[in-house]
Amino acid sequence: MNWGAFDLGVLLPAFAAGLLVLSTHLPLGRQVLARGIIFRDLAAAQMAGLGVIAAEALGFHGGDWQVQLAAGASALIGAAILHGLERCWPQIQEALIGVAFVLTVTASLLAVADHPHGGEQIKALLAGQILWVGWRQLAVVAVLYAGLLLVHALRPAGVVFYLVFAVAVTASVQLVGVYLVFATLILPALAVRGLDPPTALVRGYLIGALGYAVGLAVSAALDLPSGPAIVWALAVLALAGAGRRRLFGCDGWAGGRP
Amino acid sequence: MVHHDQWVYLEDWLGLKRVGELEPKPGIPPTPGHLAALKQRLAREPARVILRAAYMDLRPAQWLSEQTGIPVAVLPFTVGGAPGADDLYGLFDVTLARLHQALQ
Repeated sequence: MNWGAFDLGVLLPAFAAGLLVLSTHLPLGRQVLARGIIFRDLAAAQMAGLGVIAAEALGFHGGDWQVQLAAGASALIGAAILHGLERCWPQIQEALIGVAFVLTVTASLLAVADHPHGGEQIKALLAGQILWVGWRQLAVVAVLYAGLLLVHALRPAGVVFYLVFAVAVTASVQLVGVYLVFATLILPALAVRGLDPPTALVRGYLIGALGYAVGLAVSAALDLPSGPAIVWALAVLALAGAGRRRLFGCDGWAGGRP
Repeated sequence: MVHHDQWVYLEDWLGLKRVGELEPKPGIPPTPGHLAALKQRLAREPARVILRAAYMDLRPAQWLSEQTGIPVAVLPFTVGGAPGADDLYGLFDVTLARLHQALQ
């Protein structure tokens, strides 16, 4: 155990970033879960990531407004495409979202094929690095998320959902990486599946916040990278938080649902 | 203070002393313990500048600069890495100018 690793100047901004991402991703994740379109968020996060990678391949850098524009634009275009797919082919939308996901990932690889450090860029966007966030960056995202939560509360359905989703994910992917975005969106929402809104949100936020705190503490104590440690902490806490009913009783064995 | 251990020849040439690296294992994110230890070491023996290659992620160097107040110098690293570094002469000129500017 290395107590010197518990440097609040290092850990607190990361924890705040986690809470911020959680604030928008729990309600969005519950909706994704309710609609049964789990792969959609991975695809959307990847599309925002593709925009970042494409802009960087063109010579722009992380902080440039061109990169934000490219990330936002590709996430919005992606959202429009995903919405179109859902409207036109509802029966096979999960398959189509899977196809969109794999096309987006491979497009990123093609975009950086001739870039000597392309592999590092892609890995950085997937695994993210939650420890690098600064307070200034968090303040910008906090203002953005406050706006998004307001819009989401006023109109949580239809094409607005996809817009809110696209913008939220564009910001969060650059903050914490694709893996943590997916984990934050799905795991707390899974843990509170079937509960009514007020209880579900309170419990989901608690599970998510605890997941980030435990993950960061474990990564500091055991000298592990924070992002992957938080993903596992979120999974364990979601499982514990889901309660006895879901742990020991399944919805239906072999074909409860078609 | 460097992002990756990639400035060996520059350090040797100019007699710079490397205090530490932000990402000791390229591609694997650093741990909180590593970053905390880095901050403690910098408090003991302060570095004068953080070196970052122009092509690298800007966030790690920016983060450390925010945490410690040490300025960042963005160096072209190779020909074409920054405006003005169009040939080998330009590369050295821009590298020295930016180091000088950061150390002011």
